[in-house]
Amino acid sequence: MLSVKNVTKKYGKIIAADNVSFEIKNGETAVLLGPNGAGKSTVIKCITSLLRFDGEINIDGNENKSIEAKRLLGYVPEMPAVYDLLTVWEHMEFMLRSYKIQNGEQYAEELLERFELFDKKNKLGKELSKGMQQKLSICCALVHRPKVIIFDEPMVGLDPHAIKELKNVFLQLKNEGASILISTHMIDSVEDYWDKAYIMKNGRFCAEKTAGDNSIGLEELFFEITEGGNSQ
Amino acid sequence: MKSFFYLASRKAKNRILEITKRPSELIMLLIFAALVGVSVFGGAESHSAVVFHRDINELYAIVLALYAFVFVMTAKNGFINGASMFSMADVNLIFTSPRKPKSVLTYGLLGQMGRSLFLGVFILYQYSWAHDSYGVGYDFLLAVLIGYGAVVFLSQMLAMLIYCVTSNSDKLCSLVKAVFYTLIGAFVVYVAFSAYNGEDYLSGAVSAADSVVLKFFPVAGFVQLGVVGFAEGKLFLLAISVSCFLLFCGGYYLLITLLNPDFYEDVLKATEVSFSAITARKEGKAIENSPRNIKIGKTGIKKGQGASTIYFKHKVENRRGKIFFLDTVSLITAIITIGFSFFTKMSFAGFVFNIYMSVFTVGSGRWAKELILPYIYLIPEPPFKKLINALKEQIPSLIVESIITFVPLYFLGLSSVEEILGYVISKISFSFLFIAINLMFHRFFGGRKNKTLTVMLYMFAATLFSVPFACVFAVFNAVFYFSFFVSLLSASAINIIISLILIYICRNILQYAQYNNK
Repeated sequence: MLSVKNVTKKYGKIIAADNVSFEIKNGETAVLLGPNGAGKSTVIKCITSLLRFDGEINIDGNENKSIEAKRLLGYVPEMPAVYDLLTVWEHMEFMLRSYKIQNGEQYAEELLERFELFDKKNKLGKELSKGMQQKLSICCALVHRPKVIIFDEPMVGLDPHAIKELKNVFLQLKNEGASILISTHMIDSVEDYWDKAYIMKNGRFCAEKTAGDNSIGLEELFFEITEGGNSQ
Repeated sequence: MKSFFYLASRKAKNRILEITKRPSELIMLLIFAALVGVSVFGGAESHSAVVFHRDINELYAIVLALYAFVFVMTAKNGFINGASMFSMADVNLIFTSPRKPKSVLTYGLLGQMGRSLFLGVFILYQYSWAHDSYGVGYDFLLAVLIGYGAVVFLSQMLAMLIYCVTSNSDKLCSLVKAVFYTLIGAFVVYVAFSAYNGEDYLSGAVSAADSVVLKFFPVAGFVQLGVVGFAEGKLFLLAISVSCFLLFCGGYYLLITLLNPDFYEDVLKATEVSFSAITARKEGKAIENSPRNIKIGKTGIKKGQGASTIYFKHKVENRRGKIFFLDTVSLITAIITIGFSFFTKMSFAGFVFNIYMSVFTVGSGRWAKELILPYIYLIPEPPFKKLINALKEQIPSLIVESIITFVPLYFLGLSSVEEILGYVISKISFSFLFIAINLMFHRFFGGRKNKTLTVMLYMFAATLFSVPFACVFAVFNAVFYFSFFVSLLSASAINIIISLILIYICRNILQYAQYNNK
């Protein structure tokens, strides 16, 4: 479970995230929506303990910067993050070894197969296209079987097969009881997968919608918030 | 050409406006002006104390060496990417517009000419020592700067021409490469031979550099001739130099436009390479200076668990990056140090020079690249343990680099075994110190956007933290009359203590990526 309580992040006088609170239970998928500069990536970087912040973030009851919390966390960054001089398989090996995962090779192979990277397992990071680097980034984030997974714009640069596969991964992780947070601009691409949606604007949460609430469509709500200037 | 003029003038105007809008940029400009001023007045003030000037031919030889180095390093890019005088915006907006390629080339070349001059501003800082040692004025340095710009400019053109001619044929590329390096090699052999047969090595090398033969060194030779002509008031030398410049310029231009009027493809690769490097830097991605053709070799990290995996990963990356203990920059620094000590016959001068160069080279280890990607922060291990494992990869390199740099001085008869051991230990201690200062800067200044200011502060810190070494060495050696070796050893111990304190202060650098502005 991921719990974010009263998180505020300031860069000098600029408030990038203003008193943000939310919770994602086990087996739940939440989407984080908002226009460019709304503060989505800031919130995500606070959760992944890449940024300092005021407030409290817990991952399965552990403070997010604790080693226990890091062990339970998976993070797919906005920009694909791969090492130029490591092969695809060595990225998997690096993650397994550094997270001290025993017997994880089979799952690593399975992930590479799913994202059509297995036949490229001896290719260097620098030889991969941007889309392939993004797929590898996703595999790296999942190979240690995290319980809380944060995806920051995961579909950018992916081909249709990879998008389809990623959606399957979302479902599978959800069924396995993981807490998933997806930040995206592509509202329709996550339409069928979310349980909760949070809309951000100017560093604040302006609206929250649950999957059962049919009073207004997500896209309609998004434009009402971001273009209408209202908040609910 | 009207639109090109508009574009160039707008870019210049906006650049000036940017400086006035950003206080940090304005401060940088003022600091730059102040440093030039200090250099000029500092040099002028100390003028009265000078009773003896060194042979001016030495300075002419240094200028030639600088030009030749810049020429080779720039022109050889023609065998890889070519050279680009265009930005990605030029490629997207100008190349696709209905313009004659010749006018586009002219626009590119004129822009490059301005940038080439800008690249050489560091020459202006050399006034103080050049004036003190050789009695030259600021006008001489300006002439050297203009010459520097001319060399960069012509070398870029040559790189473009080489790429233009050779990019479609590997055979031709190998042939041109062979001719290029044979020609350069012949000049190097000539200088080495003259140095060996001279009265002493230094005067032999200097007289070779000032000989007519070296004036035929491509580009660098005739440009240096112009600088010498200007300095000595020999207008005919200056006229020969300017004529050669114009001839080469016109020749290149003609050849490029005749051989391949459709040159867009030839500059595209270099433009894209430079654009990706700029974009990567902006996006905070690691820039890997890896060889073009990487031999993957054995696959797998094979060793390590938890934080130690970082160290074994670095070993794999170093093998692929062909970094066997020494990277190219460290190797060049070692060679220059040996050469410097050899010609001056002062191993201590070589040692000081090498330590000065280490300030710039130690920060290029894998640990610095690691800070740019998220993994090192996410790995569930204590931050200090991860930090130590990230730094570990540099230790063998530092030891080997110190040995390779200073042991040859013993065989050249320039130092005793004790002195060499002292230099090696001191160099290692300084490398640790500069790594620790680098870490401190990542920890406390990593978020600063003004990189130039950060570099200047880093230089200041490096100087400041080197003072204890200098003091301890001077006191032990000159006041207490301890041996040279014991004095260096004691001073090195101070460096190590300071390094450990700094590393301890930065122990939580891997707690948050924000410390490094990522």
